[in-house]
Amino acid sequence: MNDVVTRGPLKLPRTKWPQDTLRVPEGYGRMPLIGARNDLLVGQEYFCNSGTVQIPAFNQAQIILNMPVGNDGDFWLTNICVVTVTGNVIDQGNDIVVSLTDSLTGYNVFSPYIHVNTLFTPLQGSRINWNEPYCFPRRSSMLFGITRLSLVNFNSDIYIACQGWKEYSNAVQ
Amino acid sequence: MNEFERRLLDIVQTSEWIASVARPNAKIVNIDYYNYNIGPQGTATMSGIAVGAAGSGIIQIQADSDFAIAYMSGSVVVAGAAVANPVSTIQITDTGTGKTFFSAPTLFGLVMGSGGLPFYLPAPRVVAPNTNLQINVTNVAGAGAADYYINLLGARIYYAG
Repeated sequence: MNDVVTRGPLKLPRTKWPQDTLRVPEGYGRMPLIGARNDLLVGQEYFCNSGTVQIPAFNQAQIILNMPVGNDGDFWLTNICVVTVTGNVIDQGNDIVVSLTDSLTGYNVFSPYIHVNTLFTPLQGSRINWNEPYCFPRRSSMLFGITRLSLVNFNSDIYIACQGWKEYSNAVQ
Repeated sequence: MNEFERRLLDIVQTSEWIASVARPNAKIVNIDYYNYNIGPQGTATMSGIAVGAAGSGIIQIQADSDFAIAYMSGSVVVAGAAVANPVSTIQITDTGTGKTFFSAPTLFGLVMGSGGLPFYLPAPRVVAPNTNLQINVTNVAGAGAADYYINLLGARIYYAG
């Protein structure tokens, strides 16, 4: 590994997360045990998980947006930015609720939905930090459930950017 | 080294932020604010990008120091005027490690700040000396051909030896 990413750690508070103690039953779906821990941390660096999906016109059903975390490190989420693009123009006011689930642990980060105008920021110039970061372990996915509450007659592309940092560690198997 | 530089070095050597990006067991001898940037001037591939087209450019990190990125900012200019909310995407790739900054090309305003305010990275991103950063932009649905200005702001960290 390049030495640039083997530095740190940042002076980040250690928080107990549900996935610290959760264990996927061995052999279940051929999934590995979750073993990445902060005490084996070997490096951190900024990273952004991002994705986009289209919300069709006249659609009020939930749409799933899947953002895989990847195999090389855990992803710590600090804040999320969301905008929609309608008719080639960015629209920052949206009547959309979003759920977020960690696919590996099944943990729902929101209870059960939040409105995009209440916790997400439309653009980074008006950034909000969450009070605590949330860790999505390696090999997991961030599953967004996106629901537009209003019945509208146009398609919109929703762009979601999850800000945080990638954390590389020696996984315990 | 004058007194101001010596005091500054004392401060940064004991800074938690610097400790988080410093090379293990290496002595920092100097640190400077720096802004690596790329724009349409001298980089034709970042200029006049038509709607639906893509452009790219290279930022070369100097060989004498690490670069710890703390902020990113950028601007999209169409017909001489800055666009407030450009429908453009950007991806930055560290060609030394092969790693990207974003998991997928990301909408410009979500990661490059807006309204003159830069994006403050939740954690620093260190780029090794003598590395090329490849910038890829796409004018997804702009009002016309666009020029792209990208700034990476942070600190150049110099080490002994």
